[in-house]
Amino acid sequence: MKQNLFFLLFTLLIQFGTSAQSTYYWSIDKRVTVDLNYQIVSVPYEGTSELRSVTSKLGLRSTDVNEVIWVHNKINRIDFASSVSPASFSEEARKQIIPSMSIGKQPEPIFLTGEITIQPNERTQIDYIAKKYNLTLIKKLDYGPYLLKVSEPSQTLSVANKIHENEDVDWSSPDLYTKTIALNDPIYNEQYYLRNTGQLGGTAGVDIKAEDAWAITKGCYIRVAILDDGIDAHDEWSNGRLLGGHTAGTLNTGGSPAVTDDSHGVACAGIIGATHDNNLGIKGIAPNAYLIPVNILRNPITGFGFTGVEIASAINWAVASNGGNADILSNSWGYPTQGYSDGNIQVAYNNARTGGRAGKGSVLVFASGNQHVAWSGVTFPANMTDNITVGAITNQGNIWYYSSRGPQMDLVAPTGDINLSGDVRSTDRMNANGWETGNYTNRFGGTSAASPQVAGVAALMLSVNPALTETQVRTKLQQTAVDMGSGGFDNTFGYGRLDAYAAVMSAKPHLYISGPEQICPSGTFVVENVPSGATINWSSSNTSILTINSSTGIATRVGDGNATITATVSYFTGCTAFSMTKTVKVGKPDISFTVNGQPYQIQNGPVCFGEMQYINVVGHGPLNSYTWTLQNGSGNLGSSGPNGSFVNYYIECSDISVVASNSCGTVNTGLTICTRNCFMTKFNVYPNPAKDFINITFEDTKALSTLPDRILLYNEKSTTPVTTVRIKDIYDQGSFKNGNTIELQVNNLPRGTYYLHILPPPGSDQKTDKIRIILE
Amino acid sequence: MKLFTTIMISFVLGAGLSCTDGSVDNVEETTCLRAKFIANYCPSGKALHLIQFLEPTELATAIKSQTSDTIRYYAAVLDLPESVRKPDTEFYLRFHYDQAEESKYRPEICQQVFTDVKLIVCDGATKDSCQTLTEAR
Repeated sequence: MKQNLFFLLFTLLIQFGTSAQSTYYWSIDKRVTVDLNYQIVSVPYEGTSELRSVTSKLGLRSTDVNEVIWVHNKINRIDFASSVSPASFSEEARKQIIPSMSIGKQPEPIFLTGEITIQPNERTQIDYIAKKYNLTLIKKLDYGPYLLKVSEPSQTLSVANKIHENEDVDWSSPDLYTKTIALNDPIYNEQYYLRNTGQLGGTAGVDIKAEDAWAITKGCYIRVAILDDGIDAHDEWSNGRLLGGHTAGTLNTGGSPAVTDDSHGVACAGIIGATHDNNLGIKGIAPNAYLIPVNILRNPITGFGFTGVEIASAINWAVASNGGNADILSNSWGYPTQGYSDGNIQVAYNNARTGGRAGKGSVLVFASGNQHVAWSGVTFPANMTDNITVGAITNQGNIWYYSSRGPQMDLVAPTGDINLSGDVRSTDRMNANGWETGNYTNRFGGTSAASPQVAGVAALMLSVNPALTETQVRTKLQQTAVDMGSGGFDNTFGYGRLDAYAAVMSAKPHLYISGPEQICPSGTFVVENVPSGATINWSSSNTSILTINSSTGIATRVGDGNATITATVSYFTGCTAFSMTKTVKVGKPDISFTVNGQPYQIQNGPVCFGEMQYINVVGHGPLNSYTWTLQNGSGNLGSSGPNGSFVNYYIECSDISVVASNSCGTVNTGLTICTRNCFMTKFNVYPNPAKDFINITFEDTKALSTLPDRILLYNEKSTTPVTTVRIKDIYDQGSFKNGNTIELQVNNLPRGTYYLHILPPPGSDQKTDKIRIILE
Repeated sequence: MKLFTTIMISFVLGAGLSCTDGSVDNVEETTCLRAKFIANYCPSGKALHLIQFLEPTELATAIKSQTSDTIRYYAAVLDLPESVRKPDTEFYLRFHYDQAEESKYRPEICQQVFTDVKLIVCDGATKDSCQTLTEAR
């Protein structure tokens, strides 16, 4: 029996050491079951670069430890050769070592950092909890919870769970670290033209700012025709975005490549529209755009080129509404012969530019050519007027030696060298077809690789504003380019380097909600500058205050208060969507005031006595009536609708009430206007109410010129002063009490309301201060 | 019999190494240089392939690197055999310049990843050596 018990204990120990131990952690209110893993563990990172030293510090046998990895600035990861039992750890190791966790059979370890977060409620006493569980408060996080360090990292999970389950908190969770899933495109880091970090010998920042533009759009359903040597199926556009195409000449093979080793069109297509986050290859500039292959370069029958008429016909097909119906024509081809021109091609392109897109014009983008090594000028057809001509710069921002240039230039974009000795990463024909044995090339370049970048950005622009005309797209691309070379336009760089983000921002329509500021009982909202074909969906943040028809924008009052309405403008069946909000006042009047044109606030300081104050009610929406009343204090109040005027010759505060009404109800509000002496040295009258004496204390008695002439005290029922003081007499005698105070004896006067008049020096245009005094 | 066998072997070898149409003009002016296959070239009336010579030659278009002192020598080749038409394949090319052929097949239209380069005619290509080509003649 004893032997059996020993065996059982031994078995349990083995199990503990080798098998996963099941437990859980809390993620707000969700209990997540995990298995603890004592083969891969973490310990707090202590800032040493000598990672292995942690093992000796914890008393671990070096032979047990496979690897120590600094995985985060808070933790080191330790991989043991096999699962270990905490029972075998030293005391310090038992405190410091935190087992990793895993969910189900998923192998990716989840690490605890030794810190926990606590989301408090209104009763939470964080100091009490910190003390009870021996936690160190690190900070209160911006988004609400407290971050605390656990004194024994190995106890992180149990401490977080205990606090979550036993203490008066909203929730408590351990701070976790695990590898995030990157649905990325493995070659993206080498696509310097999209984001230049200095890779491949480039200069950081010499790129087209594609990432910033993608935060706005990815080119929803814009149709980009690629006039080239053909495009066929590829993993990077296997999601239905490769549309039926066209081949020039008599044998229409749908725009597919004519020979197995042509891949230029595919390389251009990758730059324009490779899918994002598919764990494959590269990122395209407009990954949601449609790609339309138009083979105008190699005849599938002969392997030769096409005539001008054949090419012109293919261009016509590309933009015809019953053909390619393309929004953009990307052209990375040209005639290398200096002075060459073809009238048929020219006419076809002009027709596309003016008549494509139902009259808004298709956007034509051309590579300027690589002929600067042989002759000066831009190649045909890039040298036609009013299209977009794109040259080539290096990843360091210099013009490429080969880049054709001239007055037709518009933009430049980063690219590689010519003759397939470049370094632009893009797509290659699948498998053995194309230039490479794989599906991607790393040697693309020339103006061929620059021009599709502009075509891709044009797709992004049209996806945020399909109403733009061809001219608007072209102009905005020019205006938003990053100037290079000599200031402004030049024949080498055109208007400068393509800037995708700036171009998209300039294309985005200025959408905003217009409509009433106050709803009573209803109002209609509209979104301004909506492109045709867009749909608008309306919603209200608080339907107990305001409801709004989701399609018409008609809002109806339900209660009183503020409500935020949201309009979501969508086009391309929701692929492009922009939301905007407007906060409105709902129900009874919600008014505020301006005094002399400035917003009134209770903290506004007193104004000079005797000066007219112009008061205006600032209300929202139609208000039916206003009633103005002087509630307390002296002064003259005038009013006319929302406009009032007020003047007071006494130094005091006056309360003015305004009752405003609309069909939803009435609101009674008001403002207080206080007056002060603005002219002489400051003085203070006290006490008020007074009994035996009234003290008038001056801030400064050095100069007679700053002091009043006389002080008179009137009973409210008399125009004859009961007391008169000549200041000059006191000044001359130097008999100010305490050097700055005049004391008026009033214990002999009848009780009641009096007015103290403080008269300015004779000849002065200053006014008399009048202060109401109560004797009691 | 032995002589016949030798003649036959020489004939077969020569056929295997020759260019596609088998015709060799101006053989006295041929040159043999090491080259690397780049890609098929611009569309033309006859298949053209872009190669880079791995040694200087006036019969190719010299392009100086923008970032280093390297000079690369490119040419578009007529009649290049399929056996060497694979990316980065290095081989020995026996070729000659033919003004008539260049005039006839110089591309008029092109993908803008290429630039204008000189056009030459292949007389033979092998991965072995120029000597092999000479012997094959």
